[in-house]
Amino acid sequence: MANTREEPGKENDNKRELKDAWKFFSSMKMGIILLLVITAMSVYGSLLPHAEAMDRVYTSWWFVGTLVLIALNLLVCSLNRWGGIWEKATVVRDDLNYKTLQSYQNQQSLAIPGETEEKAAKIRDFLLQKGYRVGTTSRDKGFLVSGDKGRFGYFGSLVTHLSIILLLLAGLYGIVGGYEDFDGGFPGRILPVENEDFQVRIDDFYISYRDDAQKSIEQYYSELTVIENGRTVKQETIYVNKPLRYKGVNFYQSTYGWGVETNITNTATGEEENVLIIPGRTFYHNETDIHLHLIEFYPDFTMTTGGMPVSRSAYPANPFVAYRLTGAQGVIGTPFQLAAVGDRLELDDNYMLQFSGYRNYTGLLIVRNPGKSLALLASILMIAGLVMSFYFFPRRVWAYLGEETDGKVLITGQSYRNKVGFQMEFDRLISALKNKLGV
Amino acid sequence: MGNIIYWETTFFNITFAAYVIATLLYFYFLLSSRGNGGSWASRLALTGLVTHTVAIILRTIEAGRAPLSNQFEFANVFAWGIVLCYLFIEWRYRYKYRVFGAFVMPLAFVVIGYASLLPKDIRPLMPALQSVWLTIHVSTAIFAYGAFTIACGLAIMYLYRASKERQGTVGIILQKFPSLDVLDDFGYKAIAFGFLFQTLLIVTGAIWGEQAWGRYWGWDPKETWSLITWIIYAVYLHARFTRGWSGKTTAWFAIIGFICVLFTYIGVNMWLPGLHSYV
Ligand code: HEM
Repeated sequence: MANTREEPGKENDNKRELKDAWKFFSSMKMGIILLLVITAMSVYGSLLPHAEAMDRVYTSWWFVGTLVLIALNLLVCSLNRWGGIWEKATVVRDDLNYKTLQSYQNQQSLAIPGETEEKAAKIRDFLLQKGYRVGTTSRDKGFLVSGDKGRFGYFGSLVTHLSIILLLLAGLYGIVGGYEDFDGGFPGRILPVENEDFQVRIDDFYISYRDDAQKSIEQYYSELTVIENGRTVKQETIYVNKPLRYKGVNFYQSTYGWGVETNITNTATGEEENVLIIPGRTFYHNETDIHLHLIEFYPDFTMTTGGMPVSRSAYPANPFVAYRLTGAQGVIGTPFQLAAVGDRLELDDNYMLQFSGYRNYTGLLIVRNPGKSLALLASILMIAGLVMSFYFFPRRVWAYLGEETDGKVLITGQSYRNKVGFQMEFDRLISALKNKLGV
Repeated sequence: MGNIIYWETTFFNITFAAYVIATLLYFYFLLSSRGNGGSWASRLALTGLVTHTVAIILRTIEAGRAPLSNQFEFANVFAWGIVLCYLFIEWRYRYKYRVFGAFVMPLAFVVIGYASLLPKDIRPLMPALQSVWLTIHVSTAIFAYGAFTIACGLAIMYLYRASKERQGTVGIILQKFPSLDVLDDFGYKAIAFGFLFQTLLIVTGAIWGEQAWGRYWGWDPKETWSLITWIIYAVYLHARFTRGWSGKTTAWFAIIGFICVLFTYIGVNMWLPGLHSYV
């Protein structure tokens, strides 16, 4: 075997390299590097326009790949640390010698009256009373009482790290198992819901305006009914910040828009035709062979000083319509005509055109995200883990009596996490102990 | 109605003045050889905190909602949070570390100074902002950012002390400084507290986002920057555990983290508008 050590085979070398690489990959240093890498990528993404960033950064293989690496690094690192943490949390260290104890920052020598055993018992009782877990070991003509508290804190970072892995899984699950859809319509419409055995009917949509000068919008409301197997199973009014939730599918009030009620009358017969046209769409009138293109609807029409038509507010105080008529010979009149709602216009010699009214339609975002509950659970775990890490900080105290201490008891304390806080606590602990023992 | 606005403005102005004088007194305390003026600095800071609280309550009455929904309102409570967190530490450690005030109060002064430049009119809330989650969300930000500000002040002290120690020039200023270990420990505690609240900030924001926009996370620039801030402080927490990263490196991370906080709050609105740009 000595041979192989002197001339390490290629295989062994590879093994060692692999082992070193694995060790590095699962280290905290690697974790920090990965965190800095994902930070740099996110900064880059945040500087791009949102849609582009979604496309080119946040869903790219290198971004998602880095997230996966973080999850793996965390998983391996947590598994590696598990044994050590478990041992720390379950075993009170009692193998310390005088030299080590003396090196700790917090210490105090006390002359406590009584027999050796008596002293140990007094200190033990005191620490127990203060909520410490205590173990006593006999030492060379003396003792070592070891106590610890805040053990819970050892698991904090583990819980936090686990929660990050869960959070990434929740995000993945949401993307793989969910969908996002956009739909809507005028009241009366029944929306089919993809892959679900229920439908949603839009019963009403309305906007509440404030009574201020701008007639600002207070809220948008859609009244929805869920219909399953022909039966009404749920009825709700949704608004921004209050979606309808049914069987894991959520309906959000997302936008709204206008439809213009248009009336075309045959002047000879008095026959009427009513259609609802959405801005941007074209209606073809068969009898006259005219295309009516509805360019824009202005709820609160005015002209800017530059002569541009605009809407002052979203409130229909002065509703106007911009439209264009195209006949067989091309555009009729000017390509951009304006009319107030209610105006009676001539379509041709036999037909009258009137924009008689307007109605709102609602725009709903329909989302299914099965990863949501897991994400919430992970968030709660993360907060619990952080509280454990930061506020259940582990601390240890020892009371030692031995040859070196000259009959006195050396009390020392150590906390890795909260040095200044523990120093204060240690001082309080010592004065309480002195008080109790009357020294 | 008009009367309440008048009083709110008055209390805001008194607060501003109190913070300015407190800052000056903390400087005086730092520079004077006998450490005079310290208790007056604390008294003025406390007075400012009280009048500030009154101004915020008056605004709440005036607006009929929590005053946490535009740039002015947030800068206002941000400054309030800094002073509150700072005075809490001063009191908790029995005024032993008053020297921190000279490094924290100027930051509070900058934030309230920024607030005083912003339009203060009360506007009705757009529908997406009408949610209790918004109130909870912004409330957590007050504590997260207050604590991070303090950590930044401590990190500056740390770097200052570290560089002076290396040069071997310990003057009257440094004599009032606690040791590097203590500075590091306080900075860590402030960041731990801030990190917990930054996590709550992101989680409550996600819950609100889910209700308002149908997604709990959408890589909106403000969201992304709050995540960046969070990761920078996570790096700080880990760097502290790793040997080979000195206290100076971690102090720099505390400062970079604070720059991220400011960028999330101000820079994103100016340069990277998204859904959040009205906050
Ligand atoms: C965004 C991601 C992460 C967050 C939010 C996070 C959070 C934390 C927190 C809060 C602590 C406790 C620190 C303290 O008590 O001061 C901690 C400790 C630690 N973290 Fe992370 N962590 C993250 C990623 C990682 C990664 C990728 C690794 C890589 C292996 C890692 C390894 C460790 C280690 C080894 C500790 C020391 C635990 C101890 O001794 O108490 N963390 N982490």
